Amino acid sequence: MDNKETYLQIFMEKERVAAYKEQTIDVLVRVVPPAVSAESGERPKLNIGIALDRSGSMDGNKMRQAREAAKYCVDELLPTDTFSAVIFDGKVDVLFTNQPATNKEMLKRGIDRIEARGSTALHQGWVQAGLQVSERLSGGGIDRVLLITDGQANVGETRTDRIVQQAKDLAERGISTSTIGIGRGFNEDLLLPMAEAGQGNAWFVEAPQDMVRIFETELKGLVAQVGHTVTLGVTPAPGVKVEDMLNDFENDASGRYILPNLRAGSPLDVLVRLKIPAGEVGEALSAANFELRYTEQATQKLVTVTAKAEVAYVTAAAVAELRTNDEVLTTVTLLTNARARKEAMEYMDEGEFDDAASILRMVATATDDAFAVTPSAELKQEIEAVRDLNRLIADRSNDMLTRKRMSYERDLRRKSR
Amino acid sequence: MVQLLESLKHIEYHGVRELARAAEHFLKSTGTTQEKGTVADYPNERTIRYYITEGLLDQAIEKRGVTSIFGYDHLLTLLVIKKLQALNLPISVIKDLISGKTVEELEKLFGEEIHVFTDKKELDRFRATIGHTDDSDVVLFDHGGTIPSAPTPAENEAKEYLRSLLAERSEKPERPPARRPSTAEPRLSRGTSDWRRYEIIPGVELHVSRGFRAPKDLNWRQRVLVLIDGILDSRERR
Repeated sequence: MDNKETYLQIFMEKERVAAYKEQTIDVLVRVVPPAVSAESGERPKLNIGIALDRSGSMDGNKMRQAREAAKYCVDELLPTDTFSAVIFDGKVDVLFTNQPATNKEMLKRGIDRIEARGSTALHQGWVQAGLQVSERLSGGGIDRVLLITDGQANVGETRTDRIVQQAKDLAERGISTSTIGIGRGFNEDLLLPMAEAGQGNAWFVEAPQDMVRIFETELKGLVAQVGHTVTLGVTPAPGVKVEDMLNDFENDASGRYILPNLRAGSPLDVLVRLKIPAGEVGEALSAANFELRYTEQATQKLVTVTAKAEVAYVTAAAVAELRTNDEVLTTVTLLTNARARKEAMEYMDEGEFDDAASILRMVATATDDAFAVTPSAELKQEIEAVRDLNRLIADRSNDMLTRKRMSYERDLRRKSR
Repeated sequence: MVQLLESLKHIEYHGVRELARAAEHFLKSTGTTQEKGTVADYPNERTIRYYITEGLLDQAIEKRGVTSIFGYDHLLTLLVIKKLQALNLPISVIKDLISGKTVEELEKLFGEEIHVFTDKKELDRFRATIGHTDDSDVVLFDHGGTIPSAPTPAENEAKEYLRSLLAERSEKPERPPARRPSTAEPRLSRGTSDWRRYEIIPGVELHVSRGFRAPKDLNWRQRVLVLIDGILDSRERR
């Protein structure tokens, strides 16, 4: 069914719960944005500012692919969109001030002239790209900086927490940030949190030839954006407690979970673990209320959507007969695996590679088990990904790549992407 | 709260950092915090510079060397801004609300309970319940029917923010004036030969270097007390 409005769908771990005991239940809250495709509707106006690293390490194939990707971006823009580009090494140059994407050939010729050299003033490059974007705010469209780098911030502001905070501050002022890390030498502990705080996407380009595909995905995501500044409030009933939220989304100051931007046709799964009190057979409990709040892209109006998680108590024997919901099982597995990746990364950082490998082996077993119960496409894909990670960590041939894969896979799973 | 404000009337703040710390300290000690996550709970140096650029906050009273001197008006205005931000009012509305206000009017604004309504009917319902019909306390703003939950791009806070980041980079750090109590974390001294210890109350000692002469300046002494209060507060939080 093609919906016009975003709605919430609630899946309970089991349709009923056992009476006379306190217990923990998993509730899947699926945020379903409208399924309209970007082509059929009017897409939001884009105001894109590229911050492209041209430090020495970008030389060769990486720079060639980055240029191609930037040119692809220019080609995809409409004359009503605006485009700007800054390039940075030790210093920052504005290649194109913010301008309507009308003279595309001129823009592409300029991009072709970018050569690699020098060190990496990542922060200043990002700030300057933001300034260019701020010159012509789209007013209801999407204003975004795309930061493309293969290196570590080593000139100017280099403190990760500061830069991440600034990306958050800027997003709150209307300009979001996506980051694209190329190769193995960049700092994923900066680029991932920066994109999350900046309400954009984080991309990992393992091979330079993936660059254009990543740009394509980013742009598709932008034109499909239907809501931003998205939060979910969970209000448990008296006696019910929120034990966990498996996506590990951060809370805002009022305790609401901060969710990624909503994209048409891309549901977002949030898994909440509730502790519920004992009840009598036949009793029903409205365990928790969920309230989604976001700013609608098209109108810039605040939208609120609500749903309830309801449980009915039956005998333990009756519950034993019931099957665990497939959607819940798949989501729990993917999110638990996301957490396990983080744990494995922490072991790697401490040099405990055996422990990291052992966690990944457990992840593999758990995923196989879940697949045996629910042979879903997502779990099949996860089995492949985990198998790759196990191989990488076992032969220790490229620890930096392994860590980056784990970071980005964790991020994608948390956000159902 | 009014008494607390009264005690701050004659204090000078040396530099943006000291002003930010004083505002933070006041907001923490009175439990005034922001509910929503869109704006920082406490003003920092960068936001203060931004407010000055935006004309929400007056320029410093004077410059002493490289140090900007701020006073009670600045602190009060800052407290009012944070209070209004806590109600999710955008900067443009806050600017309208505070511009041209006297110190007394700002104090009143800070001390009073404020309710924000995005719908005229809600306001009328609220006034009916409390039996309040006097229009003098109602300020109307037309924002196309809605007050945005985050600053609208049209205000271009983004540009100001990014400029403030660049300004911060190029700005030289302020040099502390002579004989001013340090705002840095207290240093623990090694060895006691140059220091005298005074027990102020059980559990709290004051160590004073032998050669030290405290200035008679009341502002200076008040700042020392604020610093001690800050240290005790931060210990509580740990």
